[in-house]
Amino acid sequence: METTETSPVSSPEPAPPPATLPPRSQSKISPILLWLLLAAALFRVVTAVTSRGNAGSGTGLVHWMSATDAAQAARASGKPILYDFTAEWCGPCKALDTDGWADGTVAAYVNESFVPSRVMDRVREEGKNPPWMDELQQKYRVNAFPTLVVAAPDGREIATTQGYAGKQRLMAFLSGARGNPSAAP
Amino acid sequence: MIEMARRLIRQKFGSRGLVVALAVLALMETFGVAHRGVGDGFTIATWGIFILAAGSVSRDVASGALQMILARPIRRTQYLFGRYFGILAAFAIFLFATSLLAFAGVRLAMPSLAADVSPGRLAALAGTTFLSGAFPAAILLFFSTFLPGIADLLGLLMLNLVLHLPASAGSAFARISETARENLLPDVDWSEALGGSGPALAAAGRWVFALTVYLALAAVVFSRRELPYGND
Repeated sequence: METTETSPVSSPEPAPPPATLPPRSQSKISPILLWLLLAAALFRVVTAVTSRGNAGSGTGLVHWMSATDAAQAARASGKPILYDFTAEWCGPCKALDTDGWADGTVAAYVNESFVPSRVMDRVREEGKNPPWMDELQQKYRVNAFPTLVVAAPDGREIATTQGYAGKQRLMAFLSGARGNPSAAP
Repeated sequence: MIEMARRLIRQKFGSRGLVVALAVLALMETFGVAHRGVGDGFTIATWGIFILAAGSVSRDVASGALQMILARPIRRTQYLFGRYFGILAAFAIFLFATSLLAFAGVRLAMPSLAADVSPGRLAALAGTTFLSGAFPAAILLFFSTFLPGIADLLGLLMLNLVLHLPASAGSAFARISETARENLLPDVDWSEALGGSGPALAAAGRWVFALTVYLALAAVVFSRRELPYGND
């Protein structure tokens, strides 16, 4: 009996395409992933820069100034300076920002009665503060955040408080400090 | 990729033990919400992501299912990201069910809290919990590409321990640890971040970048991994 040879080696027909991708192309990583990574890096940089730009201005309706500008403005106007010693990582500081300074009544009172200055501690983020900030913190014995210090235009400490215990306490502190500006320790 | 995501959802919700575990978490969360309101957020439901994401790749490798899947013309990254999106979809389904249960539970058992537990608040809560869960899911997926079984959970635990323990040491080492933690395990207050608050937005930026890096690392490791095909 004659048989037909069907060996694939001798077959003139072209081999059918493989059912699977070659291993190398199956393991290939899409360039989309690289673009996503670049986009994420860009987003990270933009949000970091935006955040740093906003860090000194604080939140809410209070018209914060730098410490240098505040000292000049206080001497010119005779109003006491309200220093808000704060830090980016500090939870109670955020509560003070979103609950206290964001309140219209509190903000209006602060803007009217004080020269407000916000001092953002950067030790945890950058390892150190500028020398002027260290001096200011030492002068008013700042060892926790938030610390609010009311100082006379000549720099004498009038009143100080640490932490945030709600709007009522905040207003009581502010009005107490404003009503007794000559009570230097 | 969609097929892979659907396959994971079928796998997860097809397992009776896993569904029971998720149901227990949802019930515990409902009791918590009925007891204290929604003020503190979903806490117990967050654990659902660990149940859903643990061993997502390694179990397929061990069972040989992955080798069968890769016999078809799909890329490994399609499989991998399909798994990730499947985990997220399963977590979203779980959070939706938990929110419904909490809503119904509070209406029935604690009508005095009904005003606090509104559909809008529950939806916001489920949304922030979902975002909080997406991050550990990416880390678990990364560890699952090269660790066996559910050792990815152990990997996540070790990562947390390594980045949190030295914080009490003080000095420069603590600062390095703090920086590493901020970048590798960023903690985001989503309600503030979505509101555009500066520091929270920066944390969200770190979160997005770290998540993408974990997924990219998972893709690189998984694409280069040699898979076991029996003894031959």
